[in-house]
Amino acid sequence: MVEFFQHVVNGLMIGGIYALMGIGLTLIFGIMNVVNFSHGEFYMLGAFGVYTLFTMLGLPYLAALLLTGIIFWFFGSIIERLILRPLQHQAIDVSMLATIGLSIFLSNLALIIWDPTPKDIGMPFPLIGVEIGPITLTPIRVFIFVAAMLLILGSHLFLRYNRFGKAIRATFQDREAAALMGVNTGLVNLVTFSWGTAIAAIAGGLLGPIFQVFPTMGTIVSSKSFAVVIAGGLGNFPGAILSGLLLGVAESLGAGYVSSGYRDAIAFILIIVVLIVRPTGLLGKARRLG
Amino acid sequence: MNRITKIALGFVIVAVVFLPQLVNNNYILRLGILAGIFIMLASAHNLLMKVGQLSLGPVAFYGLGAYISAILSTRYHVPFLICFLIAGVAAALAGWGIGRLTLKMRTAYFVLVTIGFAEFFRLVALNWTDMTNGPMGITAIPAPAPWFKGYNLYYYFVLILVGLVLFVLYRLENSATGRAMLAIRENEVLGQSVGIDSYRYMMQAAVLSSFIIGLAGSFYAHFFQFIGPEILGFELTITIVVMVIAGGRATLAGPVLGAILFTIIPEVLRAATMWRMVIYGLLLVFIMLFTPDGVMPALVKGFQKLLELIRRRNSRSQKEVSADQESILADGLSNLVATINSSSAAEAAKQYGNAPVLEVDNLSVYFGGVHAVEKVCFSVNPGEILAIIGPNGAGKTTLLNAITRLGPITSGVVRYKGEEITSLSAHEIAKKHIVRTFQHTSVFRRVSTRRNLLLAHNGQEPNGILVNLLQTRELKQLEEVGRQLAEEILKFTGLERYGDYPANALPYGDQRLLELGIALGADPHLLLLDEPAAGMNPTEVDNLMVLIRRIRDMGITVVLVEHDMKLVMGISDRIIVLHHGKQIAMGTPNEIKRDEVVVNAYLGKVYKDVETVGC
Amino acid sequence: MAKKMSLLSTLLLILGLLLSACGGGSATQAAPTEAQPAADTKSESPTAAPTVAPAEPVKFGVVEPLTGPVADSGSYVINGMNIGIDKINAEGGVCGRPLEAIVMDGKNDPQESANAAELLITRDQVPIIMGAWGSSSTLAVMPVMERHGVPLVVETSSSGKITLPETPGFAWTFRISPMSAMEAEASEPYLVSKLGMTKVAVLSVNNDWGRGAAQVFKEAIERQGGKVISEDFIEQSATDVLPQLTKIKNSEADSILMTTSAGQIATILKQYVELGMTQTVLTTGGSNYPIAVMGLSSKEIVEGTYHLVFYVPERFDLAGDPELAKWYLEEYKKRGLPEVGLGESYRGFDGVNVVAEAFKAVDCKADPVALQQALPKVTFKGLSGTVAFKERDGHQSRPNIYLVQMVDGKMVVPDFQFK
Repeated sequence: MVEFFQHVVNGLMIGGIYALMGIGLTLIFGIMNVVNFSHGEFYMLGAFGVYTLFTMLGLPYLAALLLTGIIFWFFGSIIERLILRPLQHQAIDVSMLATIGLSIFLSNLALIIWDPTPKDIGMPFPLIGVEIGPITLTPIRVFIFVAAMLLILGSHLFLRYNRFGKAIRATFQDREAAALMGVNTGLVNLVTFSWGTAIAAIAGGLLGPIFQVFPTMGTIVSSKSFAVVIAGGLGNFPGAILSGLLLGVAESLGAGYVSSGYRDAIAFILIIVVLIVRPTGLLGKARRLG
Repeated sequence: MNRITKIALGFVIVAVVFLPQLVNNNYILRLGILAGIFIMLASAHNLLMKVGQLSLGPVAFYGLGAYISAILSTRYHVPFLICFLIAGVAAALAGWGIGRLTLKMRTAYFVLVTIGFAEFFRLVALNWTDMTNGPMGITAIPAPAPWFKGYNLYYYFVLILVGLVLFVLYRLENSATGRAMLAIRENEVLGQSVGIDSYRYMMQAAVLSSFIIGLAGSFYAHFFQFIGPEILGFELTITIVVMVIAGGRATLAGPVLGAILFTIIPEVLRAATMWRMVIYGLLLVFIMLFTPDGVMPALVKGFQKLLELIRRRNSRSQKEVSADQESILADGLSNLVATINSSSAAEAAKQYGNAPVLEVDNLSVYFGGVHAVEKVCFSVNPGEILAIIGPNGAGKTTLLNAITRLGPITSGVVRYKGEEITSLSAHEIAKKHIVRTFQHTSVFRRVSTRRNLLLAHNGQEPNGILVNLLQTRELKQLEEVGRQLAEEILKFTGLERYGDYPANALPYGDQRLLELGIALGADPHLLLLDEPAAGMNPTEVDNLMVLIRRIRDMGITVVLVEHDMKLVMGISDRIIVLHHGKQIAMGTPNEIKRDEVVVNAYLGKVYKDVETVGC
Repeated sequence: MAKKMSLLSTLLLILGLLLSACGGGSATQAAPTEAQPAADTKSESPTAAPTVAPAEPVKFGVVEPLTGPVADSGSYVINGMNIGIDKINAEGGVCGRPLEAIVMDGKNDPQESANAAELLITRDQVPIIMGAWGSSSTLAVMPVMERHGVPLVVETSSSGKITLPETPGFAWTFRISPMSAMEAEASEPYLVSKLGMTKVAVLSVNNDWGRGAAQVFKEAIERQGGKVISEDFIEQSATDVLPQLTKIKNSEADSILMTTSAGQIATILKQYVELGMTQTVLTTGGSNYPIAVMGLSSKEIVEGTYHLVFYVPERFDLAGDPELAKWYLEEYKKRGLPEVGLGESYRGFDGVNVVAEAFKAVDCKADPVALQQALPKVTFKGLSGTVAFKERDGHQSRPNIYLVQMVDGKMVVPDFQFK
């Protein structure tokens, strides 16, 4: 039983990051109709960003994280302007292939910039397990989980109460109607993509310290986020959060009790089952955001 | 085929066939073999693209074929040819099964679920160590035969295979199946409304495509003599998809070119070592940015321009019509004398008699709490023009959708010529010669006007894959009927002058005319028109009226949903009025004009307890 | 019209491609140095400073991963190889001619690696190849070697299959790196008795290497009366191993056997510390250079862990040639190469020296068959013992295998393993 709870807690911690990656991906799909295959690479670059700022330049961890977020906000804007905007009226597979090309480009460019050796970010917090009852927790994991949840909450509040957030929600519901009502949908695309990129980069910076940082680290996270997005319903914000946490727990339990080898299959089985049984995702396709 | 093409074709065939003798270089031969495998993969994958479905899971079938072939030959010493065929059949079965589960999905959902299947297959190959030897892979897979030494034999084997595959795909493309696939890709709903069973064609595409991919997988295993779970990796999927899309999806030559290009490009880029994949990624982005339809169509365009430059022709072949051009309808159809002789409507009408052709009995459609159509009853007599009118949101289009099964039915029964058709699907309805048009202009946009009409007849042609491959006499006859019908419709509608122009280049009014033409192309006996006059000027409406009457005179019964009162009052034999989903009046135009309830409904005075008529 | 056009232009393009492909062979051959990896930017290019009179270089091919998930390891091997080439050329080359490597990226992908080998043999006409890192890639390259009759020197792969006579290409394959079974054999005497590994949890990467090692070590442990109580295989790219570790922590396991890359070991050990685990840790496989693991985590995290290695840089006395080992370590540091790569770079150094010795044995003739016949007799006193293909019908060498323990940030070689 103790082991079970430990698995659940472990799963929630990692699921928080899946959820964080998932909301970015789902919103980009919902608003821009883009299946972004370079999302995992933004995550990888975020980790390298924190590595460069925190480990190499010696900035405080939180500052490095924040700065990485800001840098990748602008990076996202550039990508949106240069690649996605010219393709926004093309079929969905065109922009998808462009993002696939981008992801190949970015991960191999990272290989050249930071060389293939895995990097260690170093621990911003002492690596001592704290026993809470029968469960072991480390400060860094708690920090990661809390930070992920705060970012999700912040995004939610922004979409709910901010004027521009409302514009994003309007665009999500009906792009043409929103445009007719004076919403600058081009700007909405730009902000959505930049925001998604920044969030992914921060997710990378958050997980960096407990894992290694290397150029191909984005691939696996990328596929997990897709699973999260589908299971939650494409374009469904709360669905992505729920399925992110669920996937984390399911994987932990699966790896703990069933088989390590099939652990990564859980995500894909989830995709297949959800799509076949409930094609609109766990919570159905939301026509509402935030 | 002109002379240059013939000469070039000759050269290429000679070069390809004698490549081993010409270069005598194993590396080039090996690339040739790999290119051959990739041509098979890309062309087969393209079949799914042809029906508008992007799959990111072709490696599942490739891996399946390779593994089955490898396991059979290494463990059970099954001869190559048998392994080869079993691999293809097994992959086809898997394609059928997965198709059953997934082909109801569209766009991103389909894309992502196919990734899921491919990854799942990979993980099985990786973890089912007893059978697949897991990550260690299967070694020492025997060559197809002991005398298969050197690359020449493999090269010729794959060459023949590629030739066969391309031949099959070519036959298919130029058959009813190929046209149906084009129709589905261009406009699936319109395709269904003229009788094209999109699900069936998608299944055909999935099964044939996975069969070919399975064969390619088996050949790969015996050529490479080693396979591991890597062949199920996402990277290979990307390679295949890139080949198809960058080459030019949905064309026959595109994937071939793409496969050759993207076999060679990475090899050429080897000189760039570390930068190789960086350049590759960037190249992909640029291809998508600058030639989103693929390299092949871009090349064709460039080549045409070049030819025009040489011949000093001005760009006459740029099939575009200036937007302000008067539509054919406005020009007047004074010269409208042609009739459609190939239509089977008149004959059918003669045989049928006088009983109502369509009976709608207590039909209701609810969307959650919204009662869009509430217990509607009416019948349509043969040879009449029945109009359905009502304010916006009255449920007219929902009713039409329900009858043609493009929309849901909550309860009630629809009978056509006495036979219940409620349980049929949209394309089956169309096969019964019940055809509709749409409120929003719906044509096969990027297809020429003439071809639009050919596609429309497709629902009436056989959809069996073998019939289409063999191109039987029956198929040819039906095709001929379709061709003749198309020519007659072109004359009938006056669209003849736009025959070779793509539909989206036509002026708006003429696109609506083309829509009507498409519906006629499906050989209707009962024609349901959804606001055909929307957006037309009075002259055009006048002419449309003439046209609809002439259609009726050909023996086609017409149901008309319309707002334009001039049109409705001018040609209808009877009128039904819907309001908030309820049928509030029915009668001749003169009766309806005087009906107080109707007038009030149109003026916005809502009666809570309007008495419904009909049932 | 459009259809004809498309057909015509495809045909023309295919024709063009065919012609360019035919012409490509000789054009690129003139500039083989293009294929030098970027990994050696810090070292001198082997052809840049020939100390001998400009003679026709002696060329050989190399297939290593330079991109993809294991690009780091491939680049370390290349670094060691470049040190070897520079040393050989500084001392006059082979047969008075400079030795030159033509390096191709195989991405550690079987198909890519086989293509690269094919290219090296047919375009560059190399008479011998070193590579292809992972066992899957090597197994895919071997049929190509057999088809062309060109020998392959394997410096990294561990799968037992590679040197089995029934594997296609066996006759042309000569392996320096040890098989997992050799590691298990070497460590069997002390696994249970000295390290106390009686109830072992296996946590390995899910590939031929991890699975193969798990199998042979399980047998060794069971022969000694120990028991393997759980086996978990994780993906090469897996980062979160808390579920597996939680399971092991809550089981009765007293020790964990790990076979995976240094990076993944570091990740596992971090999470091992997070959970406050106390089980004995032993890593196997030779890619697990403990200093690299420490570099990717910290001194505290690796404290007390055991590792099976084939090369202990500071212990010159254990090398085949102590002088050479001393020189190598100094040279490596002088070049400022990454310290995390030291433990893997030796394979490239030993490998290239074996290639050079083979060339010397045939008077540097570019004759693959002669090289194949010469290789079984080649010996080289290298960094990881003496390379000599004495086992498996003259196709398998047996290098050094040592147990080291990390104590206070340093590698310590426990004495109990020496009889």
